[in-house]
Amino acid sequence: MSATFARFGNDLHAGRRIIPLVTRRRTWYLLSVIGIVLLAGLAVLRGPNLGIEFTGGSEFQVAGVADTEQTSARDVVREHLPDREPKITVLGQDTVRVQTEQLDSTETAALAQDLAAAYSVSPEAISTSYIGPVWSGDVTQKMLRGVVVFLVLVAGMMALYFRDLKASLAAMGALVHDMLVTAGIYLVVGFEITPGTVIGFLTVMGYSLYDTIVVFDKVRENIDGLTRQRRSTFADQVQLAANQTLVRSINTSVVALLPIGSILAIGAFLLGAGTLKDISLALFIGIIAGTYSSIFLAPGFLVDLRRREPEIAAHTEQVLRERRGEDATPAPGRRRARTTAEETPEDESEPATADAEEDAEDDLPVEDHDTEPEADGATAPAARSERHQPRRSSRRRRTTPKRGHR
Amino acid sequence: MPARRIALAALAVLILLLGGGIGAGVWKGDWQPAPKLALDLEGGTQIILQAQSRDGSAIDAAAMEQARQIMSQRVNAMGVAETEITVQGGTNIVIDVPGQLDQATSEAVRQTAAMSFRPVLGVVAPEGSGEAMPSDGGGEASDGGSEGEGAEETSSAPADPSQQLFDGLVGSDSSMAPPAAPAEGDLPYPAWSMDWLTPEIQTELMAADCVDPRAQQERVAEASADEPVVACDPDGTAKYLLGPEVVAGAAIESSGVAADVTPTGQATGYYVVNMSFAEDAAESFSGMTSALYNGQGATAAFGIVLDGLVISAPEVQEPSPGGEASISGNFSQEEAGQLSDQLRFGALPLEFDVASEQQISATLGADQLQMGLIAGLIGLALVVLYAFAQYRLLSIVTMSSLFIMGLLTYGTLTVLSNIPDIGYRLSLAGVVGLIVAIAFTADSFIVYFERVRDEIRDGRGIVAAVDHGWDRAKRTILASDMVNLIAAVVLYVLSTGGVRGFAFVLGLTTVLDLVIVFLFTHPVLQALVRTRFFGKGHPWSGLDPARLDRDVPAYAGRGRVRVAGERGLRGRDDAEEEAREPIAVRRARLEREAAERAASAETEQTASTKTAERPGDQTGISDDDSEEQSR
Repeated sequence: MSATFARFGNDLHAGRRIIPLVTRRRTWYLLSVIGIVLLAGLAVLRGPNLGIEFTGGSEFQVAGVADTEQTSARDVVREHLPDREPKITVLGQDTVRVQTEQLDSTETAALAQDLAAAYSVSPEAISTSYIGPVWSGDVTQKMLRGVVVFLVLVAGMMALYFRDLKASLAAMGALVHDMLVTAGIYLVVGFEITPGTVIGFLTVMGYSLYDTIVVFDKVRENIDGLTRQRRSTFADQVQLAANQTLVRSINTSVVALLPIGSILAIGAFLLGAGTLKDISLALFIGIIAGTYSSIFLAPGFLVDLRRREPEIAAHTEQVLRERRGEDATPAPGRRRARTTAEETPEDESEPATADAEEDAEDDLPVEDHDTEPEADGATAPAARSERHQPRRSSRRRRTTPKRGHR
Repeated sequence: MPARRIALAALAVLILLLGGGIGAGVWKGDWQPAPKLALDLEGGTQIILQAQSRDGSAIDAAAMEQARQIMSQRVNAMGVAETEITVQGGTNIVIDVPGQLDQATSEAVRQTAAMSFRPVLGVVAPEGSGEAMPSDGGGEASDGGSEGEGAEETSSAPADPSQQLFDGLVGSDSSMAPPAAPAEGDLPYPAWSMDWLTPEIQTELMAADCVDPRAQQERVAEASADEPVVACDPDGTAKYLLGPEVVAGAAIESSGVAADVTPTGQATGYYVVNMSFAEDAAESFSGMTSALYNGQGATAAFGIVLDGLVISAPEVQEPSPGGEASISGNFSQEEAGQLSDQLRFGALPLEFDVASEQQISATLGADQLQMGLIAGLIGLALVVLYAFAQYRLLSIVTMSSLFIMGLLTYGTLTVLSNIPDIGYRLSLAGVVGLIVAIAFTADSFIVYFERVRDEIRDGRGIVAAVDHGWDRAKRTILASDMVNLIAAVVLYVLSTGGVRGFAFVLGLTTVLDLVIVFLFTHPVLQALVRTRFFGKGHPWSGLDPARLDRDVPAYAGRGRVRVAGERGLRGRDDAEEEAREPIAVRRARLEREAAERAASAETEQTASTKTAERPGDQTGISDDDSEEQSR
């Protein structure tokens, strides 16, 4: 498996295989928009399933019961609180959870005693919690404040790091997508929202950016010296970067999902509910969304944000013109200068850029995905591919024997 | 000594320091060799109190810290062992008590800490006797005070039942002269007027029992500000009847301790407590002191009520016109300091509500810890397996880095939880944080390794690829860790309770991740690629150039196409053959190729024949070429 995966990675790096992450970005946007709209629509119908920390109330957990039948708990609670129906759930294998309205300490102690008696466990085996009415409002408010503070700080940091406000904006756009998707899934599936969820949610924001940074770092490398060549447009280079980091993104996500998935599995199936499940579930969903957005959306956002910059627009224009063969004035002096600069194999001046450009140029021709022409600079390589396809194969034929002599 | 040795040595020193510190702590002191557990893992009770500003002003950190101190004093006075009280999330006080919380402690922390100044209408013996009032007129303990500026009072200390009260009660109908002082707000008569002595309050006064002051405490705390109350002094030695509140404790602007001096300026060896009031409160306060001084009140004293207890009931020796007052009473410096602190605490415009109360059974806690650890181990095993599948023996670096990470994290948490001032406790959320940290740490390696592989794919030799890959990867890792750190700090500052442990662990492990990547992973990888196995790209090394599309450690320059596909197919034999190429030979070959390329560049300029361009490499015609031709 790893061998094929490695080959996949090699192909992506060399550009023999190009996934049209930027070329078809409108498709990805549309997918996300449809997804979010669907989620939002369903979410409105369902409404959030807020945990006791947000609604306020009292909760009892009876651990280690021999029989998890719920009727005895219901009976006990009815004795104490005849008016309101308690919410009773079984957690894991041997824990019964009872949620009621807010009870004061005396009532709580009395009810805990009775529950212990009803399930014949010792009173120490009962965990209780009481969440006052102020708490919920406070938690919500702090969460919102946390999100805003985090966004501002991180947007600033990213802008400084990339020295590019638009890269920061694109990353934020992907982040907002992840937040919407995670929140939407939570609402639609009806997972309980607790402070643990919020923590997971905020951590996911960090993770989503992490992924995007990896991609944008490569983008930055690939577009370094962009205007000094005429082979690939800005969009081509961004797409190449996204493809080159694809394996990395998949690997980092899988590796992140493995431990988180194991907490989630243990938390959900063995413990039922609680901090373990709450944090890991939000993280699990968010990381998947974050991986998707950093691969499929962030590069597209970046291209859309920057392609109208005069320098880039002019460059794209020129590249496209040259591709069509309209403008046949190569810039010989410049090209030559570059060639000589890169003679030494260990030469360190912009090796990556050179490679990237080179990659761009030799992958694009082999790009063999469905090539629907779009009125966009990024599609040009696709169009070119048909032209070059045969030549590539002939080259292969020619080379193979030669290799053997070496 | 190469940089990598220095880095590894620094890491070793760090680990030894941590280990040594813990060892010494365990051996010499009462340190535990493991991090302490938080309530959700150990079982216990957690109460979260939320501060609310009484006057709508912002709640500042200093006020919260004072509130916390007072609360610890209260709880410690109850003799509850190992209670931890912390300020979290800005406006919350979190009280952690191991085991079950008894009723008294629970009430002690819930109590509102409010301070008020009320005129003393009478003082009686503490016993809740029915009617008979002992009228022994036990000496007024008020002579200690000496003159000073502003109001001069005596300490309340043992303020025994006094004659005044007895008189006051008898003559309750014959109120004193109409007050000259400004009438208090919407009170029907001045707070110090005898008119407050209604039969009901007298009955209450008689009934109240001050031998155990706590009984009365709560009632006072709940009493309305514009009603008279019966309150006790903290030692249970006196029972006071106090008029309505004249000034709230919140109006105290400052309080401090100063040496007491005689009018001639000589030090008495005692200390006084000075306090000053905010502007409008100063007016009310001076109104009260002058009225009391002029004998218009039931007594000449006023009571300072804190937490429902009369902490001081000084007698007015001089009116206080300017809103400044000093309380004297042969205080030692310590006593004066304590009173001053109490006054200041009373000045906090804070009220606390119980936001949440959780009682976690020890069994549930143990269960959760066990499950958390199992989940962590499974997660770790999966990550190691995946890393092995992806990076072959290179994953040794991942594993050992994770191992070092575990050591450092364990050590740091243990040290932090053993330092009393920090007293870190590992919560369930913290355990989740640790497990998530496995993921994030492993991610750094992936970013690094993939980067190195990219360099190899781009044609660098393995050793060079590690160095170059590192230069690129470290920026990415730094930026990513920075984002995580920001997330952790924001979470930590804003969150409260157990989940805060998550943010803490996230932040800590992010920092440790940087330490490890810089001091361990990179140096170790640098050292490894100097071995034959990794440096030559053995197929199991995870750096095998053949697998990475690149069996020739040669740089493919511009316009030079790497025929990666064929190379990938050629398999291992060729790769090993390439790998065996001695460095000197390789360098010579590279130079030759470079020269040829330079020559061909010239050719490109002058002639347009493309095929001659690459004598040493007939790999084909690049797009570059084809484009040139098409022009």
